[in-house]
Amino acid sequence: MISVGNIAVVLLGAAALGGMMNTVPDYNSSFQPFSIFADQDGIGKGRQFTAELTGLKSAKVISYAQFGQEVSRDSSATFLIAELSITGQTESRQLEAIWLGATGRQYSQSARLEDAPRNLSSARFEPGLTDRTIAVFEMPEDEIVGGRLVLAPRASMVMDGAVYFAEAEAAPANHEMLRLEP
Amino acid sequence: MKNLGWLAVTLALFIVTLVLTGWPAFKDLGHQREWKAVAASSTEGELHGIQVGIREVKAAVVDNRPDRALLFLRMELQGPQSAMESWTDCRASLQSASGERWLPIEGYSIRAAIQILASDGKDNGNCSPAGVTGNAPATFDQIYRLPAGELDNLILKVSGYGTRPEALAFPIRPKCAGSPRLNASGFRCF
Amino acid sequence: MVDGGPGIRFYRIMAQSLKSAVGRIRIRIIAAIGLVAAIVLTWWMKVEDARIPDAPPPIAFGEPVSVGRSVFIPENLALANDEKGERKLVLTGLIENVTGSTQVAVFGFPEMLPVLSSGDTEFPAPQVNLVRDDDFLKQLEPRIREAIAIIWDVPPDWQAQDVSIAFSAQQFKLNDNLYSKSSWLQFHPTGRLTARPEQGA
Repeated sequence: MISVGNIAVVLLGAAALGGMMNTVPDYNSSFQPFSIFADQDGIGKGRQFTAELTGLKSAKVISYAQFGQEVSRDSSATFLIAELSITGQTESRQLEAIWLGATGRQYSQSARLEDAPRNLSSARFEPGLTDRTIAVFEMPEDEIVGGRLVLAPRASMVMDGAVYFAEAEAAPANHEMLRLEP
Repeated sequence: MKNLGWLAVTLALFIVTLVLTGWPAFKDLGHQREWKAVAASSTEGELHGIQVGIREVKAAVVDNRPDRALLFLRMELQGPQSAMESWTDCRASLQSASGERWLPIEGYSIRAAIQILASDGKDNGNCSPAGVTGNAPATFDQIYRLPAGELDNLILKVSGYGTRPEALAFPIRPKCAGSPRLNASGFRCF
Repeated sequence: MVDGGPGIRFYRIMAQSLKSAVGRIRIRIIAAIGLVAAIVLTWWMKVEDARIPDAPPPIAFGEPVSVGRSVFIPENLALANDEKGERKLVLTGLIENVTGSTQVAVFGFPEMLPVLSSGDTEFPAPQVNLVRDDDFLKQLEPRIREAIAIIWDVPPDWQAQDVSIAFSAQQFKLNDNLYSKSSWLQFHPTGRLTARPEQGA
């Protein structure tokens, strides 16, 4: 006759195993960068950079001058411009920015404005130097309020930390036409 | 008491397994980091068969931002092709005493300053294994963007994939690219 | 009565044990049949799920067709001349990214653009332009529907005739079989558009 104690141990083991199997994080949720949250002044200290979000703007049309030619980009939705002030810490680094929209969708920087002046995608940050830069996104208007900006090193985001800024609480200042100056 | 013997054997085998499986990863890490600095004079050095010489070092302060400087560096590599193949690639970086590391600039808009700072107005490109043969020295130009306050105590580290963790360490003495503003901001010109 | 031989009790016990042996074998055979049937049924259901329809469904202008990460609605097919005077076949339509993040590989990775076939002529791979910028389509943001133009170079020996454009979609799996990570797998055809190009400007 099997004792009640032995049966209880087996059931306990099966329950523990089942619990562990059901709660093990899968590949998709394990391979995420470390989260570093910015403080209330809007300054986030990553491992290789310190970043401050100085402002958010939205615009319907963005224009800038490139090689002496005027470039103008419009959108059926809206452009969101995040102004950042970034200081390098330990090593020269390029960064990338993602907007986590209010609906949970992730918006990467707009490739249509890659060569805009002071764009984050062409900037590199050196230790000890503070540079001002902008990150431009294109998204529907309702993704802005309730969304947040994430800044991470380019191309090694998963193995490093990502700085999460505070959620946008109010709609940013809207411009019909925004001109970007170098 | 006899279980202790088995535990000791398990521990020993565990350590052996760790070492055997981790050794290739550790060696790979050694190829990426520059742990062992091979001291060199401020102008010449030799590592794994390649002679590296520093020819020009010039610092210039950016006009409207006196706290940041551009540093131009010209170096020459010479050695047999087999030695360059053992280097595999060439990486140069500037390091400060506190461990900060600056990499050479690749973007063309800032690299245009090399043609202004260089004595002959040419830009020979970043350090690369192509062009290093035994006959004549190959010249390479780099430009760095760094805080003007860090120009005092810089070390240039030059290494290749095949030489790391060993790297040549040159103490750098930049010359002023002629501007009295540099003295006012506290940087000494040699 | 025969002495020394097995008694009736022995035969009764033998008969009983024989019946229970047959019963046991019958039960085991039924269980085996049931197990095999369950396995075969599961396999069959999995094969049916993974089966791709042989012929892609025909689509018309204005009907959406899935191209994997996005949904494309073709609107117009025209034969036009570009600035250099070369003939181009231009398919214009609306495209919308239906994934949750910005897509650079709008038509899948490795890319599988719509394939144009007409008669025996081989058409090269098309170029996808964003009509708004009149430049390459570099990326597509979720929930933003953009007008695009898919442009094929027309070989000189092609006469104006019916063309057929085949669309394919890449299969998405949330947990794949190798690492249990989300990945985009193979392409399967999702639609075929047959039309005669209009004469454009």
